[in-house]
Amino acid sequence: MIPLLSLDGVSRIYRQRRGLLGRGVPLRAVDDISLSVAPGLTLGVVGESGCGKSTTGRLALGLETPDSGRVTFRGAVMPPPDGAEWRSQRRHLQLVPQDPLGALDRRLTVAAQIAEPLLIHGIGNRGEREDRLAALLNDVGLRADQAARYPHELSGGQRQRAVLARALATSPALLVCDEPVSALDVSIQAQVINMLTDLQAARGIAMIFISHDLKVVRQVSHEVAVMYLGRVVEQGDPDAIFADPLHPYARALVSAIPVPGPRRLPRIVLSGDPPNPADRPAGCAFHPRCSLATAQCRVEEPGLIARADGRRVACHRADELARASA
Amino acid sequence: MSGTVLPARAGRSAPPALVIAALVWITMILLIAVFADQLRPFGITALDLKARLLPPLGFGGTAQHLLGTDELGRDVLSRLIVSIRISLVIAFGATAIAAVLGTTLGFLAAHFRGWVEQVVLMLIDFQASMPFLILALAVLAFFGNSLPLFVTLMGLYGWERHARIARGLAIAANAQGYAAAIRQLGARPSRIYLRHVLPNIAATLIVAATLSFPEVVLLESGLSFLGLGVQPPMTSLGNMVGYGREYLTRAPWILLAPSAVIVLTTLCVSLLGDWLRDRLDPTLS
Repeated sequence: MIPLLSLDGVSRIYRQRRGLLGRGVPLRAVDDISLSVAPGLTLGVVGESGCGKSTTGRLALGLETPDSGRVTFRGAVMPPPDGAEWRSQRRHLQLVPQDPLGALDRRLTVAAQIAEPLLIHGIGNRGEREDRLAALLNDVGLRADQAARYPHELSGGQRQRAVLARALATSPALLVCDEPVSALDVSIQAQVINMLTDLQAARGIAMIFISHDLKVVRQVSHEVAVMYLGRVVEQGDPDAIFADPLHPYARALVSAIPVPGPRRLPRIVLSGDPPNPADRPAGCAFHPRCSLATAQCRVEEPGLIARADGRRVACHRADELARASA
Repeated sequence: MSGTVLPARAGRSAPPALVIAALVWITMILLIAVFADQLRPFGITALDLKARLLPPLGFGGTAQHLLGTDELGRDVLSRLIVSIRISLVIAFGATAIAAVLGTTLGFLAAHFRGWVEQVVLMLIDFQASMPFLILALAVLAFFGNSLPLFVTLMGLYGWERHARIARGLAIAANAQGYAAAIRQLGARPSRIYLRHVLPNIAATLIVAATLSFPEVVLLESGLSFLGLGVQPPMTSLGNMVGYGREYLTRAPWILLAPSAVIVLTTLCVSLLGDWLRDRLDPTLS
């Protein structure tokens, strides 16, 4: 299938200044990543804080320009940000942010903000826009009287619904959800997630779902990419990855998912410091925290290699691990 | 003064009594400014040398000159009415110019960053480090004095405060939050800044404007006192205070009448601005 959006060898490097007179240190937030999203399907991106998940999302949306590699949407390279072409393309690519209160203008009613993308892109006349607003409110489960309120007068779940309605207003082809439910409590999380998957099924929207919550990612994703220090370390079918992760980092993540009853896999607790992206270890970036690291891991960086089952894993010992767990 | 205590929280429906009083005073001042020519009983240059330094009514004066007369026998009430008009034109005009100029430059700096921002910041630093009175003296000495020039010059006073506020808040809004979200929706910069950023930072800008309004009145008074502001025979509130100072001991009413108007008007503008700030913010109810 032709991907809707693809990232080919994309890197994003920030320069981080140290001290007042210090020289800039390159920080590879995203390092040579290749991912693609098919129409109507969901790509889950998981990893710990600072691993480059959100930057990947911003690159996919075209909010940032990659320093190397290219991002293509419907076969065309993303236009540079803030041009006329970039602005009109926004209606196809939308973001559902982590903090809905921050993303809403506190001086406008929620209804006015949900309808704003229609005004910006000149969609419909006044009556059509009102019909569209009513339909959107219905889709996300907000009542008209709730929509007439200001953002601070709504609950966290209602704000997230409002932000989602705004993102859906222009019928986008791709939705990037950057930790959309991490600020909500668990019962509301489930409601919002179910709503997202229902809307996706009904409208055929592709999604990039960024989260550190593996349970949620497993529930919504058709494909999962596990990121560590700006790189993808394991990628493939969510059932395969969550049932039998190969990369030691993915194993540690999966073993940390709380499960009812006795565990099948022992809990792996990572030792060592959390990684600093400005100071990458030599060889495999994960080796200082990996219990299985060998001399080879300390020198040679493993490539992301496709395996027989279609999964791709970046680990020198993937073959041994696969044999051991089989 | 139990009747004029400001409630702790301004109600959404009825403004507090003090704000109503401020609104009434400012309306009255505005009406006086508009109908100055009809309201004044005498011409501002009409001399009555036989009735020089006449005290106001109730202090030994006559009903003909309600607020007394000055050293040349000119009616203080008439001069006060015309002064209100001139000073209001200068103060409101200058404050509006400063607010628009400053906010525009601040937004430009926040939007373009880079060298545009550096130039704006340099202008701000220049403005802040230069004593404005000296600048005003130089401009007035070179270009002479006319009311439009004077208003424009006063408008250059205090713009850097608006520019700083607008730039800082716009950068903060762009970096995270609502402005970034609106940009992401595909909005043009004009929409982001005018429809979203400006209403969100209006509260702060209004407070800055109500602070600079009294300062412009005082600056105008100072320049008029130095003989560089409003020129006689024209009159302004500052001009009246300046010339009335010489008769402070013998005829204090010449100075006290315009001083009272300055104090009350600036106080009312501050009160009104404060209330408007709360009123414009839907998160305070």
